[in-house]
Amino acid sequence: MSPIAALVLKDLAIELRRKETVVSMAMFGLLAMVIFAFALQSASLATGGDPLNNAAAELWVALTFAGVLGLNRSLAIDLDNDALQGLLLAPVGRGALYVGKVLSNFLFMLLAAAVVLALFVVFNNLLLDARLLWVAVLTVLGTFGFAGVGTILAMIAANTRMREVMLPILQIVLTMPMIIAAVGATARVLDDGDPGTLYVELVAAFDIIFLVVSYLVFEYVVEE
Amino acid sequence: MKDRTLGIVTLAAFVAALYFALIYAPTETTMGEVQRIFYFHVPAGITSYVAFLVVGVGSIAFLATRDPKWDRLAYCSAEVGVVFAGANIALGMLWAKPVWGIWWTWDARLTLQLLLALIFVAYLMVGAYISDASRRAPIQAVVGVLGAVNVPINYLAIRIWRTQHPSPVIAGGEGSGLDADMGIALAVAGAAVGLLYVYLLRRRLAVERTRQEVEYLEQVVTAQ
Repeated sequence: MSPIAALVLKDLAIELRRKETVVSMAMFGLLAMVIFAFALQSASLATGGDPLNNAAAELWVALTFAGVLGLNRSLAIDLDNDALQGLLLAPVGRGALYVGKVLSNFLFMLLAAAVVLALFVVFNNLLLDARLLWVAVLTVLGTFGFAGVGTILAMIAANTRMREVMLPILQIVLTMPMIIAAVGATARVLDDGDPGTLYVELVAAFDIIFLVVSYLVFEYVVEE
Repeated sequence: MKDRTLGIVTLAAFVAALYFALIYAPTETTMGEVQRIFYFHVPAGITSYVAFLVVGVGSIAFLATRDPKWDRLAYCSAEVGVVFAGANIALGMLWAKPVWGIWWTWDARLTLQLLLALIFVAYLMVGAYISDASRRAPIQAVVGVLGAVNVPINYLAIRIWRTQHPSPVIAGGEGSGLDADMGIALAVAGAAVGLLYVYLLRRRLAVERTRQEVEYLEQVVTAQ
Protein backbone atom coordinates (compact mmCIF):
# COMPACT_ATOMS: atom_id res chain seq x y z
CA MET A 1 0.00 0.00 0.00
CA SER A 2 1.34 3.41 -0.89
CA PRO A 3 2.09 5.84 1.97
CA ILE A 4 -0.47 8.31 0.68
CA ALA A 5 -3.22 5.68 0.66
CA ALA A 6 -2.18 4.58 4.14
CA LEU A 7 -2.42 8.16 5.43
CA VAL A 8 -5.86 8.68 3.92
CA LEU A 9 -7.11 5.34 5.28
CA LYS A 10 -5.78 6.25 8.72
CA ASP A 11 -7.76 9.51 8.77
CA LEU A 12 -10.77 7.70 7.34
CA ALA A 13 -10.61 5.04 10.05
CA ILE A 14 -10.42 7.69 12.76
CA GLU A 15 -13.35 9.54 11.24
CA LEU A 16 -15.45 6.36 10.90
CA ARG A 17 -14.94 5.65 14.59
CA ARG A 18 -15.41 9.17 15.91
CA LYS A 19 -17.79 10.61 13.27
CA GLU A 20 -16.90 14.08 14.50
CA THR A 21 -15.30 16.07 11.67
CA VAL A 22 -17.79 15.62 8.85
CA VAL A 23 -20.82 15.90 11.10
CA SER A 24 -19.61 19.07 12.81
CA MET A 25 -18.59 20.61 9.48
CA ALA A 26 -21.93 19.84 7.85
CA MET A 27 -23.82 21.14 10.88
CA PHE A 28 -21.75 24.32 11.04
CA GLY A 29 -22.01 24.85 7.27
CA LEU A 30 -25.77 24.42 7.45
CA LEU A 31 -26.04 26.92 10.31
CA ALA A 32 -23.83 29.43 8.53
CA MET A 33 -26.02 29.08 5.44
CA VAL A 34 -29.20 29.53 7.49
CA ILE A 35 -27.85 32.62 9.25
CA PHE A 36 -26.71 34.24 6.03
CA ALA A 37 -29.84 33.23 4.12
CA PHE A 38 -31.95 34.64 6.91
CA ALA A 39 -29.99 37.89 7.16
CA LEU A 40 -29.49 38.50 3.45
CA GLN A 41 -32.93 37.38 2.32
CA SER A 42 -34.66 39.44 4.99
CA ALA A 43 -32.69 42.38 3.68
CA SER A 44 -33.46 41.65 0.03
CA LEU A 45 -37.17 41.10 0.79
CA ALA A 46 -37.20 44.47 2.55
CA THR A 47 -35.61 46.17 -0.46
CA GLY A 48 -37.50 44.12 -3.05
CA GLY A 49 -34.48 42.29 -4.52
CA ASP A 50 -34.49 38.72 -5.78
CA PRO A 51 -33.45 36.39 -2.90
CA LEU A 52 -31.69 34.11 -5.42
CA ASN A 53 -29.13 36.89 -5.98
CA ASN A 54 -27.65 36.08 -2.58
CA ALA A 55 -27.74 32.30 -2.94
CA ALA A 56 -24.20 31.97 -4.31
CA ALA A 57 -22.85 34.10 -1.49
CA GLU A 58 -24.66 31.99 1.14
CA LEU A 59 -23.29 28.77 -0.30
CA TRP A 60 -19.67 29.96 -0.30
CA VAL A 61 -19.81 31.58 3.10
CA ALA A 62 -21.13 28.28 4.45
CA LEU A 63 -18.45 26.24 2.68
CA THR A 64 -15.68 28.62 3.82
CA PHE A 65 -16.66 28.56 7.48
CA ALA A 66 -17.30 24.83 7.49
CA GLY A 67 -13.95 24.28 5.79
CA VAL A 68 -12.02 26.27 8.40
CA LEU A 69 -13.77 24.34 11.16
CA GLY A 70 -12.88 21.04 9.49
CA LEU A 71 -9.22 22.00 9.12
CA ASN A 72 -9.05 22.88 12.81
CA ARG A 73 -10.55 19.48 13.68
CA SER A 74 -8.30 17.57 11.33
CA LEU A 75 -5.24 19.25 12.81
CA ALA A 76 -6.41 18.60 16.36
CA ILE A 77 -6.52 14.87 15.57
CA ASP A 78 -2.85 14.99 14.59
CA LEU A 79 -1.80 17.12 17.55
CA ASP A 80 -3.62 15.02 20.18
CA ASN A 81 -1.26 12.55 21.82
CA ASP A 82 1.57 13.94 19.66
CA ALA A 83 0.37 11.79 16.76
CA LEU A 84 2.07 14.24 14.40
CA GLN A 85 5.44 13.33 15.88
CA GLY A 86 4.74 9.71 14.97
CA LEU A 87 3.84 10.68 11.43
CA LEU A 88 7.02 12.72 11.07
CA LEU A 89 9.12 9.82 12.37
CA ALA A 90 7.52 7.40 9.92
CA PRO A 91 9.64 6.63 6.84
CA VAL A 92 7.37 8.69 4.62
CA GLY A 93 8.37 11.66 2.47
CA ARG A 94 7.11 15.05 3.56
CA GLY A 95 5.46 15.44 0.16
CA ALA A 96 3.48 12.22 0.65
CA LEU A 97 2.47 13.42 4.11
CA TYR A 98 1.15 16.64 2.60
CA VAL A 99 -0.70 14.96 -0.25
CA GLY A 100 -2.23 12.37 2.08
CA LYS A 101 -3.45 15.06 4.44
CA VAL A 102 -4.82 17.16 1.57
CA LEU A 103 -6.74 14.18 0.22
CA SER A 104 -8.33 13.30 3.54
CA ASN A 105 -9.20 16.94 4.26
CA PHE A 106 -10.63 17.23 0.74
CA LEU A 107 -12.67 14.05 1.21
CA PHE A 108 -14.18 15.21 4.51
CA MET A 109 -14.92 18.67 3.14
CA LEU A 110 -16.62 17.14 0.10
CA LEU A 111 -18.86 14.97 2.29
CA ALA A 112 -19.86 18.00 4.35
CA ALA A 113 -20.26 20.09 1.18
CA ALA A 114 -22.60 17.43 -0.27
CA VAL A 115 -24.91 17.83 2.73
CA VAL A 116 -24.76 21.63 2.54
CA LEU A 117 -25.32 21.54 -1.23
CA ALA A 118 -28.35 19.24 -0.96
CA LEU A 119 -29.99 21.60 1.54
CA PHE A 120 -28.94 24.57 -0.58
CA VAL A 121 -30.90 23.12 -3.52
CA VAL A 122 -34.02 22.60 -1.41
CA PHE A 123 -33.91 25.94 0.38
CA ASN A 124 -33.44 27.86 -2.84
CA ASN A 125 -36.05 25.84 -4.78
CA LEU A 126 -33.56 24.99 -7.50
CA LEU A 127 -34.51 22.66 -10.31
CA LEU A 128 -32.36 19.58 -10.82
CA ASP A 129 -30.86 20.66 -14.12
CA ALA A 130 -27.50 21.37 -15.74
CA ARG A 131 -26.96 24.40 -13.53
CA LEU A 132 -26.60 22.13 -10.53
CA LEU A 133 -23.93 20.15 -12.31
CA TRP A 134 -21.90 23.34 -12.67
CA VAL A 135 -22.49 24.28 -9.04
CA ALA A 136 -21.24 20.81 -8.06
CA VAL A 137 -18.14 21.14 -10.28
CA LEU A 138 -17.38 24.55 -8.77
CA THR A 139 -17.85 23.18 -5.28
CA VAL A 140 -15.40 20.35 -5.97
CA LEU A 141 -12.83 22.76 -7.48
CA GLY A 142 -13.20 25.34 -4.73
CA THR A 143 -13.07 22.75 -1.97
CA PHE A 144 -9.95 21.20 -3.47
CA GLY A 145 -8.08 24.50 -3.49
CA PHE A 146 -9.34 25.22 0.00
CA ALA A 147 -8.02 21.88 1.28
CA GLY A 148 -4.75 22.26 -0.63
CA VAL A 149 -3.73 25.53 0.94
CA GLY A 150 -5.60 24.89 4.20
CA THR A 151 -3.57 21.78 5.00
CA ILE A 152 -0.30 23.70 5.05
CA LEU A 153 -1.86 26.71 6.80
CA ALA A 154 -3.17 24.45 9.57
CA MET A 155 0.40 23.22 10.14
CA ILE A 156 1.66 26.81 10.16
CA ALA A 157 -1.04 27.87 12.61
CA ALA A 158 -0.14 24.91 14.83
CA ASN A 159 3.27 26.51 15.39
CA THR A 160 1.82 29.80 16.63
CA ARG A 161 0.58 30.66 20.09
CA MET A 162 -2.89 31.44 18.77
CA ARG A 163 -3.71 28.45 16.59
CA GLU A 164 -7.50 28.82 16.64
CA VAL A 165 -7.23 32.45 15.58
CA MET A 166 -4.37 32.27 13.09
CA LEU A 167 -5.84 29.44 10.99
CA PRO A 168 -9.06 31.30 10.05
CA ILE A 169 -7.12 34.53 9.47
CA LEU A 170 -4.54 32.93 7.16
CA GLN A 171 -7.08 30.69 5.46
CA ILE A 172 -9.54 33.47 4.72
CA VAL A 173 -7.05 36.04 3.41
CA LEU A 174 -5.23 33.54 1.21
CA THR A 175 -8.28 31.81 -0.27
CA MET A 176 -10.43 34.90 -0.65
CA PRO A 177 -9.38 35.65 -4.27
CA MET A 178 -10.36 32.08 -5.19
CA ILE A 179 -13.63 32.34 -3.26
CA ILE A 180 -14.45 35.60 -5.05
CA ALA A 181 -13.99 33.85 -8.40
CA ALA A 182 -16.07 30.85 -7.22
CA VAL A 183 -18.90 33.07 -5.98
CA GLY A 184 -18.81 34.96 -9.29
CA ALA A 185 -19.06 31.74 -11.26
CA THR A 186 -21.81 30.29 -9.04
CA ALA A 187 -23.86 33.47 -9.24
CA ARG A 188 -23.60 33.45 -13.03
CA VAL A 189 -24.58 29.80 -13.24
CA LEU A 190 -27.65 30.36 -11.07
CA ASP A 191 -28.54 33.40 -13.13
CA ASP A 192 -28.32 32.11 -16.70
CA GLY A 193 -26.71 28.66 -16.59
CA ASP A 194 -23.33 29.82 -17.88
CA PRO A 195 -20.54 30.11 -15.30
CA GLY A 196 -18.21 31.94 -17.66
CA THR A 197 -15.18 29.80 -18.50
CA LEU A 198 -12.94 32.57 -17.21
CA TYR A 199 -14.17 32.27 -13.64
CA VAL A 200 -13.93 28.49 -13.71
CA GLU A 201 -10.40 28.74 -15.10
CA LEU A 202 -9.47 31.18 -12.32
CA VAL A 203 -10.67 28.77 -9.64
CA ALA A 204 -8.79 25.91 -11.33
CA ALA A 205 -5.66 28.07 -11.64
CA PHE A 206 -5.77 28.87 -7.92
CA ASP A 207 -6.13 25.13 -7.20
CA ILE A 208 -3.03 24.25 -9.18
CA ILE A 209 -0.89 27.13 -7.91
CA PHE A 210 -1.82 26.58 -4.26
CA LEU A 211 -1.24 22.85 -4.51
CA VAL A 212 2.15 23.09 -6.23
CA VAL A 213 3.51 25.89 -4.03
CA SER A 214 2.25 24.26 -0.82
CA TYR A 215 3.71 20.90 -1.86
CA LEU A 216 7.11 22.52 -2.47
CA VAL A 217 7.30 24.38 0.84
CA PHE A 218 5.52 21.89 3.12
CA GLU A 219 8.74 20.29 4.36
CA TYR A 220 9.91 23.59 5.88
CA VAL A 221 6.79 23.81 8.02
CA VAL A 222 7.10 20.38 9.63
CA GLU A 223 10.87 20.21 10.06
CA GLU A 224 12.25 19.92 13.56
CA MET B 1 26.38 57.80 6.84
CA LYS B 2 25.22 56.23 3.57
CA ASP B 3 21.67 56.07 4.88
CA ARG B 4 21.85 59.75 5.71
CA THR B 5 22.86 60.66 2.16
CA LEU B 6 20.07 58.48 0.82
CA GLY B 7 17.64 60.22 3.16
CA ILE B 8 18.64 63.63 1.89
CA VAL B 9 18.38 62.48 -1.72
CA THR B 10 14.92 61.05 -1.00
CA LEU B 11 13.83 64.32 0.58
CA ALA B 12 15.11 66.28 -2.43
CA ALA B 13 13.34 63.85 -4.77
CA PHE B 14 10.08 64.42 -2.89
CA VAL B 15 10.44 68.20 -3.18
CA ALA B 16 10.98 67.76 -6.93
CA ALA B 17 8.07 65.30 -7.12
CA LEU B 18 5.77 67.79 -5.39
CA TYR B 19 6.78 70.45 -7.90
CA PHE B 20 6.21 68.16 -10.87
CA ALA B 21 2.95 66.71 -9.55
CA LEU B 22 1.38 69.92 -8.24
CA ILE B 23 2.71 72.63 -10.56
CA TYR B 24 4.42 71.22 -13.65
CA ALA B 25 1.80 68.64 -14.68
CA PRO B 26 -1.23 70.06 -16.52
CA THR B 27 -4.59 70.00 -14.76
CA GLU B 28 -6.72 67.06 -15.85
CA THR B 29 -9.78 68.26 -17.79
CA THR B 30 -12.61 66.25 -16.25
CA MET B 31 -11.42 65.60 -12.71
CA GLY B 32 -9.53 68.82 -12.06
CA GLU B 33 -6.88 69.34 -9.42
CA VAL B 34 -7.78 66.23 -7.40
CA GLN B 35 -6.40 64.05 -10.18
CA ARG B 36 -2.89 65.04 -8.98
CA ILE B 37 -3.28 62.41 -6.26
CA PHE B 38 -2.60 60.01 -9.14
CA TYR B 39 1.15 60.87 -9.09
CA PHE B 40 1.52 59.38 -5.62
CA HIS B 41 -1.34 56.90 -5.58
CA VAL B 42 -0.03 54.81 -8.50
CA PRO B 43 3.67 54.71 -7.40
CA ALA B 44 2.59 53.71 -3.87
CA GLY B 45 0.60 50.81 -5.32
CA ILE B 46 3.42 49.65 -7.60
CA THR B 47 5.93 49.99 -4.75
CA SER B 48 3.75 47.82 -2.52
CA TYR B 49 3.79 45.14 -5.25
CA VAL B 50 7.59 45.40 -5.45
CA ALA B 51 7.89 45.23 -1.65
CA PHE B 52 5.74 42.09 -1.51
CA LEU B 53 7.70 40.47 -4.33
CA VAL B 54 10.86 41.21 -2.33
CA VAL B 55 9.21 39.34 0.57
CA GLY B 56 8.73 36.37 -1.74
CA VAL B 57 12.28 36.46 -3.10
CA GLY B 58 13.76 36.94 0.39
CA SER B 59 11.65 34.07 1.73
CA ILE B 60 12.72 31.66 -1.02
CA ALA B 61 16.36 32.71 -0.61
CA PHE B 62 16.12 32.15 3.13
CA LEU B 63 14.60 28.68 2.74
CA ALA B 64 17.33 27.78 0.25
CA THR B 65 20.35 29.23 2.09
CA ARG B 66 19.21 29.58 5.75
CA ASP B 67 21.09 32.86 5.85
CA PRO B 68 19.26 35.10 8.39
CA LYS B 69 19.90 38.19 6.29
CA TRP B 70 17.29 36.98 3.77
CA ASP B 71 14.77 36.46 6.56
CA ARG B 72 15.42 40.01 7.76
CA LEU B 73 15.00 41.38 4.24
CA ALA B 74 11.67 39.58 3.76
CA TYR B 75 10.32 40.55 7.16
CA CYS B 76 11.32 44.23 6.91
CA SER B 77 10.12 44.54 3.32
CA ALA B 78 6.72 43.19 4.38
CA GLU B 79 6.40 45.87 7.06
CA VAL B 80 7.32 48.65 4.64
CA GLY B 81 5.12 47.10 1.94
CA VAL B 82 2.07 47.14 4.19
CA VAL B 83 2.66 50.86 4.82
CA PHE B 84 2.85 51.55 1.08
CA ALA B 85 -0.23 49.43 0.35
CA GLY B 86 -2.06 51.35 3.09
CA ALA B 87 -0.92 54.66 1.59
CA ASN B 88 -2.05 53.47 -1.84
CA ILE B 89 -5.52 52.56 -0.52
CA ALA B 90 -5.87 55.75 1.58
CA LEU B 91 -4.82 58.00 -1.33
CA GLY B 92 -7.22 56.08 -3.56
CA MET B 93 -10.05 56.81 -1.14
CA LEU B 94 -9.19 60.51 -1.03
CA TRP B 95 -9.34 60.52 -4.81
CA ALA B 96 -12.48 58.38 -5.07
CA LYS B 97 -14.60 60.51 -2.76
CA PRO B 98 -14.67 63.67 -4.92
CA VAL B 99 -14.56 61.83 -8.28
CA TRP B 100 -16.82 58.80 -7.71
CA GLY B 101 -18.73 60.25 -4.78
CA ILE B 102 -17.79 57.30 -2.56
CA TRP B 103 -14.81 56.33 -0.41
CA TRP B 104 -14.90 52.67 -1.26
CA THR B 105 -16.51 50.17 -3.59
CA TRP B 106 -16.16 46.37 -3.68
CA ASP B 107 -14.66 46.48 -7.12
CA ALA B 108 -12.21 43.68 -8.02
CA ARG B 109 -9.21 45.98 -8.10
CA LEU B 110 -9.86 47.63 -4.74
CA THR B 111 -10.83 44.38 -3.08
CA LEU B 112 -7.73 42.52 -4.27
CA GLN B 113 -5.37 45.30 -3.19
CA LEU B 114 -7.00 45.35 0.25
CA LEU B 115 -6.65 41.56 0.46
CA LEU B 116 -2.99 41.74 -0.56
CA ALA B 117 -2.31 44.19 2.27
CA LEU B 118 -4.22 41.94 4.69
CA ILE B 119 -2.25 38.87 3.56
CA PHE B 120 0.95 40.57 4.63
CA VAL B 121 -0.58 41.83 7.86
CA ALA B 122 -1.36 38.15 8.53
CA TYR B 123 2.25 37.32 7.57
CA LEU B 124 3.50 39.77 10.21
CA MET B 125 1.04 38.33 12.75
CA VAL B 126 2.35 34.81 12.16
CA GLY B 127 5.86 36.02 12.95
CA ALA B 128 4.70 37.81 16.08
CA TYR B 129 2.83 34.78 17.43
CA ILE B 130 5.60 32.19 17.13
CA SER B 131 7.51 31.97 20.41
CA ASP B 132 10.27 29.62 19.27
CA ALA B 133 12.82 31.88 17.54
CA SER B 134 14.40 29.10 15.48
CA ARG B 135 11.00 28.00 14.12
CA ARG B 136 9.78 31.52 13.37
CA ALA B 137 11.96 32.29 10.36
CA PRO B 138 11.24 29.20 8.19
CA ILE B 139 7.52 29.20 8.96
CA GLN B 140 7.18 32.89 8.27
CA ALA B 141 9.13 32.37 5.04
CA VAL B 142 6.58 29.77 3.92
CA VAL B 143 3.76 32.25 4.54
CA GLY B 144 5.83 34.84 2.65
CA VAL B 145 6.05 32.56 -0.38
CA LEU B 146 2.32 31.75 -0.30
CA GLY B 147 1.55 35.47 0.05
CA ALA B 148 3.90 36.67 -2.68
CA VAL B 149 2.35 34.18 -5.12
CA ASN B 150 -0.75 36.35 -4.89
CA VAL B 151 1.01 39.40 -6.34
CA PRO B 152 1.16 38.14 -9.96
CA ILE B 153 -2.17 36.33 -9.57
CA ASN B 154 -3.88 39.49 -8.38
CA TYR B 155 -2.23 41.53 -11.10
CA LEU B 156 -3.52 39.14 -13.76
CA ALA B 157 -6.90 38.68 -12.09
CA ILE B 158 -7.45 42.43 -12.07
CA ARG B 159 -6.83 42.57 -15.81
CA ILE B 160 -9.05 39.58 -16.46
CA TRP B 161 -11.85 40.95 -14.33
CA ARG B 162 -11.62 44.33 -15.98
CA THR B 163 -12.03 42.92 -19.45
CA GLN B 164 -14.88 40.76 -18.19
CA HIS B 165 -16.72 43.63 -16.56
CA PRO B 166 -15.53 46.94 -18.02
CA SER B 167 -16.30 49.30 -15.22
CA PRO B 168 -16.25 53.06 -15.84
CA VAL B 169 -15.17 53.86 -12.29
CA ILE B 170 -11.69 52.40 -12.71
CA ALA B 171 -10.88 53.86 -16.11
CA GLY B 172 -9.77 57.22 -14.70
CA GLY B 173 -6.19 58.43 -15.00
CA GLU B 174 -3.90 55.80 -16.36
CA GLY B 175 -4.24 53.30 -19.17
CA SER B 176 -5.45 54.74 -22.44
CA GLY B 177 -2.56 57.10 -23.09
CA LEU B 178 -1.06 59.70 -20.79
CA ASP B 179 -0.12 63.29 -21.58
CA ALA B 180 3.68 63.59 -22.00
CA ASP B 181 4.02 66.14 -19.17
CA MET B 182 1.88 63.96 -16.93
CA GLY B 183 4.18 61.06 -17.80
CA ILE B 184 7.22 63.06 -16.68
CA ALA B 185 5.53 64.02 -13.41
CA LEU B 186 4.60 60.38 -12.82
CA ALA B 187 8.19 59.28 -13.47
CA VAL B 188 9.60 61.85 -11.01
CA ALA B 189 7.05 61.03 -8.31
CA GLY B 190 7.59 57.32 -8.95
CA ALA B 191 11.34 57.71 -8.45
CA ALA B 192 10.74 59.64 -5.20
CA VAL B 193 8.37 56.98 -3.84
CA GLY B 194 10.77 54.23 -4.91
CA LEU B 195 13.65 55.97 -3.11
CA LEU B 196 11.49 56.31 -0.01
CA TYR B 197 10.90 52.53 -0.08
CA VAL B 198 14.62 51.81 -0.34
CA TYR B 199 15.39 54.32 2.42
CA LEU B 200 12.74 52.99 4.81
CA LEU B 201 13.76 49.41 4.09
CA ARG B 202 17.43 50.15 4.82
CA ARG B 203 16.58 51.94 8.06
CA ARG B 204 14.26 49.13 9.13
CA LEU B 205 16.97 46.56 8.33
CA ALA B 206 19.49 48.49 10.43
CA VAL B 207 17.07 48.53 13.37
CA GLU B 208 16.41 44.80 12.96
CA ARG B 209 20.14 43.95 12.80
CA THR B 210 20.74 45.92 16.00
CA ARG B 211 17.80 44.24 17.70
CA GLN B 212 19.09 40.78 16.82
CA GLU B 213 22.57 41.72 17.98
CA VAL B 214 21.20 42.89 21.34
CA GLU B 215 19.20 39.69 21.61
CA TYR B 216 22.32 37.64 20.94
CA LEU B 217 24.39 39.59 23.48
CA GLU B 218 21.63 39.15 26.06
CA GLN B 219 21.80 35.41 25.57
CA VAL B 220 25.59 35.44 25.92
CA VAL B 221 25.41 37.49 29.12
CA THR B 222 22.66 35.42 30.73
CA ALA B 223 24.43 32.19 29.78
CA GLN B 224 27.51 33.18 31.76
